[in-house]
Amino acid sequence: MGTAASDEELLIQDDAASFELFYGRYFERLLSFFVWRTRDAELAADLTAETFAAALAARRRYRRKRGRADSWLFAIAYHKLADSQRRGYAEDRARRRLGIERIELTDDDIARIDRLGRPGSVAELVHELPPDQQHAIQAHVIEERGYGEIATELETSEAVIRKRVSRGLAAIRKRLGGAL
Amino acid sequence: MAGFEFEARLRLELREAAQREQRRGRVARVVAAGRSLLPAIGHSALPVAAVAATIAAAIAVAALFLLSGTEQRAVAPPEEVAEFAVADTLGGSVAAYGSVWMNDTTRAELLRVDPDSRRVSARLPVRGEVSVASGAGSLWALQEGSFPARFHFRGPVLRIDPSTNEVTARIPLRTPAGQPFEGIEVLSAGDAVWVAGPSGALRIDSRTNRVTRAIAPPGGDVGSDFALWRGELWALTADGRLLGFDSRTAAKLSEVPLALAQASRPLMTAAGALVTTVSGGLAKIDPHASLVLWSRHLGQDLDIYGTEAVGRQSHRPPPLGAPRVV
Repeated sequence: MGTAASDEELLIQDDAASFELFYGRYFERLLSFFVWRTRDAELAADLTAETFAAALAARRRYRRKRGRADSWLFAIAYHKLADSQRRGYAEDRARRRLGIERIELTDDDIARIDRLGRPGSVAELVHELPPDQQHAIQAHVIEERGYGEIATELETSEAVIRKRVSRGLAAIRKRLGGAL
Repeated sequence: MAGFEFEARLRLELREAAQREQRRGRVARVVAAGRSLLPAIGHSALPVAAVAATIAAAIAVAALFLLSGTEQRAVAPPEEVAEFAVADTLGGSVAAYGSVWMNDTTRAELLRVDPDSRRVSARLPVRGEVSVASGAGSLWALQEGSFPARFHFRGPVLRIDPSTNEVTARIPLRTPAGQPFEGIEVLSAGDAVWVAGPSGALRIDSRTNRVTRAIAPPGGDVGSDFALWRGELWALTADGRLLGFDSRTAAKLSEVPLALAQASRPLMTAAGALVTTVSGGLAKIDPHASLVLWSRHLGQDLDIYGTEAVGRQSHRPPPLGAPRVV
């Protein structure tokens, strides 16, 4: 399976190389998602590892007709995040089951992850938006989910989601002096 | 993220885990499939696209009753009389001319659904997703465009004759001066047709099918929201000003600051009133008196729906709690 394969094609393959390609496409986006949400580099790293481990273990149950691969991955991510907020730490069940060791972060790792959510970054500005706009931008811009899908999830209209994204981006653009 | 040690080590760990999984063989996979690594995700947390798009034939109505003071009226809950699939994924919708018009976002089509027969009576190809509205005897569909706009619609706007289901005009999304314009939604009431976007609004003359006016509220690209109400176009700016425009000439008729706790909220008409949301509730606006008539705290963030019937997709419970109709 080559680099031109779709996410869905990579996910349904049984070989290690396909999953590695899938991982490469989503590592940074998933790590950014967690660091923006948790503001904690180590927790974000643990959640990223746990989410990919869960995706690897569960990928045989993924079905294209159930939706896009990235949506599926972020559904797992949301679940892991919510679970960590309840527990106060990231669970490691999937990692343990697959024999994946917890990775200790180096100082350089922590610095790099922290930069993803540092003050003044776009991520920080997203955090300053009203929650509905934050969620819409997170879902549409970061996770690249469709307006219809987000609207259905939130039981609202596409126009509402589109407006939230538009307003949020406009506010960020204004803060950045039109640089976005 | 070249040289990122955590990324490289996690990649290696996952590669080795994937290879181990691969070696487990078919029998082991069958056993493993029986285990649930994600029990709490379950079916309910599958991607929304996984849920078959259906519409309630009764057409479930979120009726918003705006009542003054403490007056409240008992409202019978909406009844779902049938449920049937029309598309894998649905987008914008409007009820008009005896049908429900819905955007099949998977096949990039505008569907006309007959609520009596529960069948799709017409399919019109569209470019990407669409925002739809009815007015001036036609259906208006603002298209995303041939190149996915990502955030906004680039048009053109389609005018559709509901008596023939044919496109009678394709209106480019450009200002009268010829500048490209990006929209968010198409608005229509009576003969007025407007396209609202992040930087303003365009008026489409329904007699000539041409864009004849453009307005850009002060502050420009700051998230103004638009609504057509009682012959005027209203804009609620992010800094809490309400602007009224003549919907035919686009002349500004009024501008008033509103005492809203949180600006940049949706502006809509519902039950004959101009309403917006405030943090955790609703507010009713009387623009002619420059007043927020009342605001009511309802305990959660809201989205407003008008009283017109709207088709709905099947759904799972939203993360913010069960929806309430008020």
